[in-house]
Amino acid sequence: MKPAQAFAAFGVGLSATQKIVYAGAAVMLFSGTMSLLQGDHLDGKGIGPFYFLAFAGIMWWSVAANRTLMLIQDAYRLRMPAAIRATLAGLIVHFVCIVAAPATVAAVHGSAGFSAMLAFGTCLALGAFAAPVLPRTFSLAGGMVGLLPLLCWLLANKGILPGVRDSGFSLWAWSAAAAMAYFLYHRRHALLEDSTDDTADGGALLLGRYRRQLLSGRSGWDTSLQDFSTPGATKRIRLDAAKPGNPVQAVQVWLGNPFAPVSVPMQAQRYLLPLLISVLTAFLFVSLHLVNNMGLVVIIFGQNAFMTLRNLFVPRLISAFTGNGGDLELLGTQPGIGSGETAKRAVLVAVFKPLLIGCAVQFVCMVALAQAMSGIIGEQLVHGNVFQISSVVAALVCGDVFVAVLMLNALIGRAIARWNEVLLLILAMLIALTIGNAPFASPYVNALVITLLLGFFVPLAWLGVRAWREFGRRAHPFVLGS
Amino acid sequence: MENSAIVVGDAGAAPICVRRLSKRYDARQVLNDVSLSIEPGSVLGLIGRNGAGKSTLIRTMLGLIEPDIGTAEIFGERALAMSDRAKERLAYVPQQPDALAWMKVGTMLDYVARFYPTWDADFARNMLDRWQLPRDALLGKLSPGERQRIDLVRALAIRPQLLVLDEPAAALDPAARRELLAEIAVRAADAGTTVLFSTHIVSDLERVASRIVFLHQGRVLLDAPADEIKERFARLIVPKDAVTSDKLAVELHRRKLSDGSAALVIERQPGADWPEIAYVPGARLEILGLEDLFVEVAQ
Amino acid sequence: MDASLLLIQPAAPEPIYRQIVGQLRRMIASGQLAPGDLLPSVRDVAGQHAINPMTVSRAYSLLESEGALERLRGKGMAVAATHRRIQPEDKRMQLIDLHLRELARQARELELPSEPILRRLGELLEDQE
Repeated sequence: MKPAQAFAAFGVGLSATQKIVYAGAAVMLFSGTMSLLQGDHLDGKGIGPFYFLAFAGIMWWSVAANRTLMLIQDAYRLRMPAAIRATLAGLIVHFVCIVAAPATVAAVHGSAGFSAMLAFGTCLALGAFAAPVLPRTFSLAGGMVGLLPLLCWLLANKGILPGVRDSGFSLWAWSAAAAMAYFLYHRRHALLEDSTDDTADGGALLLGRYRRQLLSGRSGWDTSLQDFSTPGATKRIRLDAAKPGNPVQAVQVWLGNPFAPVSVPMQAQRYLLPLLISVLTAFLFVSLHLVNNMGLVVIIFGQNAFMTLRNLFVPRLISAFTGNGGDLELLGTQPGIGSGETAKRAVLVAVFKPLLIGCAVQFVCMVALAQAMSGIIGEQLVHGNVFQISSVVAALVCGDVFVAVLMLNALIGRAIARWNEVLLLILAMLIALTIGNAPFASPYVNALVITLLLGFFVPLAWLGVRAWREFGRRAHPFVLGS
Repeated sequence: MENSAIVVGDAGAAPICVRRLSKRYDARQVLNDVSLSIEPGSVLGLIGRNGAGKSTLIRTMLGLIEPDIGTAEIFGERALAMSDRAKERLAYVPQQPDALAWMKVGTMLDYVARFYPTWDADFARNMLDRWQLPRDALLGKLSPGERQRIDLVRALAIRPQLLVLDEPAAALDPAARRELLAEIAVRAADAGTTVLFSTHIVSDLERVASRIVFLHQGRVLLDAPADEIKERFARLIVPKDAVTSDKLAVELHRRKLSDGSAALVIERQPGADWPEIAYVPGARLEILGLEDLFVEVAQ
Repeated sequence: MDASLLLIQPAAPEPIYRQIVGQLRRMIASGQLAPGDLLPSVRDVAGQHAINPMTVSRAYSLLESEGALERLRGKGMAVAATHRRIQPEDKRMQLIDLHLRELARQARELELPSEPILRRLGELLEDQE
C-alpha cells in the first residue's frame, strides 16, 4: 500500500455523520483561514480565527486519529507490520496536507510565524491522538477535548498563555506537543495490547468506545450501558415501587439507569455529579476574571449541561428502542404496563420526568451561578441590550429542547445521527456567535443569530412533530421499528 | 348471541391465530399472506432458512410488529392491544434477550416474579443450578449464550399457557437442549402448554413438534402434523422423458438435475396412494427425513 | 417397562410414532413384554425422549385399536391379556405397504427378478411363524 492509498483509506467507510463532521470542519477551516488571511481578525474581542481553526482541527483530527489508531490496533493483532507502516506513512501525508501546507501559506502571507503555525497544528493533531488512548475512566474528559481550544484562547486573551502571534507561543506549543508525543509513546503498549473484542466491554481505552459505536452502526452515541461498569450505581435502585398497577415505575425499572427510580440522594448524585465539572469550569473562569460577560459564563455552563443531559438520557433510550429489539420484545410482552394508550402514557412519563428534573437542576445551578457573579450580571443588565440577553437564553433553551426531541425520536426507534450533527453544528456556531456578539452588537451579526436560531428550530420542530405523530399513531409504545 | 370471537380473553380461543399477514420492509416482502392458527396444547415448530421471516412472523404474532395487512390474535385478543391478563399467560424468549442488563440474575428473576401470579420460584432455582448459571452475576456481563439460558429459565418459571421461543437451541449444548425439549414435552403433556418455537435444527423439530410449519421466503410452504410429514411428502426422481413442463398439482418443489431428469417434492393426502407420476417407468420415490426434505425444498 | 428401553431416532425416515409401534410390537411378540405388563405413561415416554406426548398417545392408541394393548382404568396402558386381532387384514396390509414398496424399489435397482425375492420373503415369513 502506497502512502497516498493509505491516505485515501481514511475516506473508506466513513459514516454519514463523520462526513458531516468533516464537512463542518472543512467549512470552519476555510472560514478561519480566510479571516486569518484577510487580517479581519477579532483577537482580543470576539472569536478569533485561531479558535475557529483549532475547533475545526480538533474535529478533523479526532475522526482521523480514531480511525488510524484502530487500523494500527487491527494491523498489529493481525500481524501485518506492512499495514502499520503504510498507515503511519499515510499519516505523514495527512499531516503535510492539513498542517504543514497551511502553515507555509500563513507564514508566506505573514499572518503568523511558520514555527508557531506548525506547532499549533501539531498540538491539535497530537491532542486528537492522545485522547483515544486515555484510560476509559476519562470518558467525561474525552468528550470535552473540544473545549480545550476555547480554554487556551481565553487564557491567551488574558495574557496567561501566549497567543499564536506572541513570541513565546512556539516554545510553549512545542513543549506541549513534546509532552503529548511522550504520552503517546508511553501508551503504545496499552494501545497495542488492548482487547478489541467487541463482545467484551470494549477494552480499557477510550478508543474502545469509538470502536463499539462504529461496530454497532450507531455513530455518535455510546450505546454501552455505562451504568453497570460502575459498580454500586445500580445497587440503590428501588425495586419495591415497581409492581403491577404502577406502570411508570415498571417501565423505569426495565429501562434501568438513568431512568430507574432511586432515592433522593442518588438522584442528586445522578444529576449533580456530571454538572459539577461545568460548574467548576464556570467558577474557574469567573474567579480568574477570564470572562467579564454573563452570556459567556451562562453559555459555557449551559452548553455543558445540555451535553450532560443528552449523554445521560439519549444513549440508553436509543439502545433500548432501536437496538436489536431485545428490550422492546420483553417490554411489549410483559404484564403490568398495560396496553395501548396506558402504556404510551407510562412510557412518556417514565422517560420525560427524569429529563424535567434534570432541566430543573440545571436551571437552579445556573441561577446560583448567576447569583454568585451578581456584580457582572448587574453590569450586563445595565449595559447589555434585550436582544443579547434573549439570544443567550434562546441558545440555552435550544439545548434542552434538542434533548427532548432526540429522546422523542429515540422512542420511535430513530437515532437521528445525521440531523443530530447538523443541528449541533448550528448550535455551536450560534453559541460562538452569541459569545462573540455580546460586547459589540451589529445588525449583521444579529441577523445571523436570528437566521441560525431559525435554522436550528425549524428542523427541530419538524423532527419533533414527526416523531410525536408517529408515536401517537402506533398501537403501543413497544412496536419494533423497521 | 354475541360474536364470541371478540370476547376479551375468550377461554376457548386459540392461543395464537393470525390471518393473512403481510409485511414489507423496503423492497423486501418479509411476510406474504401468512395464516396460521395454533390449537391449545400443540407444539408448533417453525422452520425456515435464515431470513425466511421466522422472527418477523413471531414478533408480528405477538404484536411487536405492526403488519401491513392482516391481523394477529393472542388468546382471542388483538395482539397489538394485548391486555395484562393475556400477557400473564404468555412467556416469550427472544433471540437476543438484552433487557434488564443492569440487574443481577437473582434480582431479575425475583423482580419478574412479581408480575406473574403463576411464577414457580422452585423451578427457577433448580434450573439455575442444573444449568450452572450464577445468581450473582450482572446480566449485562454474561455471554449471549448464558443470557439466553437465563431467559429460558425466566420464561419456563412463569409456567405460561403459551410459550414462544425464538431460536432457543442456539445457545444450548446438546445435553441442555435435550433437557429443554424434554421440559417442553412434559409441559405439553401435564399442563397442555401450547408451544411455538422456531429453529433450524431439524432434529429438535422431529422430536418434540406436533406440527411443523415451513416458512420459505415469507410464505407458508408446508404445514402438516409432524407425524404425517414423512408419510405425506417424498422426493420423486422423474426420468428425462417423463418430465412435464407444467407444474403438477401435487408438486411442492422442482429441481432440474444435470442429466435432464427432475427431482420433485410431491405430496399425497394422508392414507391415500402416491400420485400416478410416482409409478411411471424409471421414476424413483424416496421417503425423506425432515432434514433432507428441508434442504430439498429450500434450494 | 422403563421408558428408556425405547429407541427413538428422529432422523430416520420412519415417523416416531411408527418407531414406537414397531418396537412395542416386537417386544410383545418376542415375549419381552408379557400380557398384563404396564407400559410407561405417555408423560414418562415424552419426558424421557423429549418427544411430543401426542406422538406417544398416537402410538399407544394405534396398538390399542390393534388389540395389542389395553387401557386399564387408573393404571394406564398394559399389554393386552388376550391378543386379539380385531383389525381386518387389508388394514394391517396398509401398515406394511410402505416397507413393501421400498423393498420393491431396491429390488428393481438391483435388477433382481421377482421370483427369488418372493421365495426368500416366503422363507423369512415361514421362519417368523
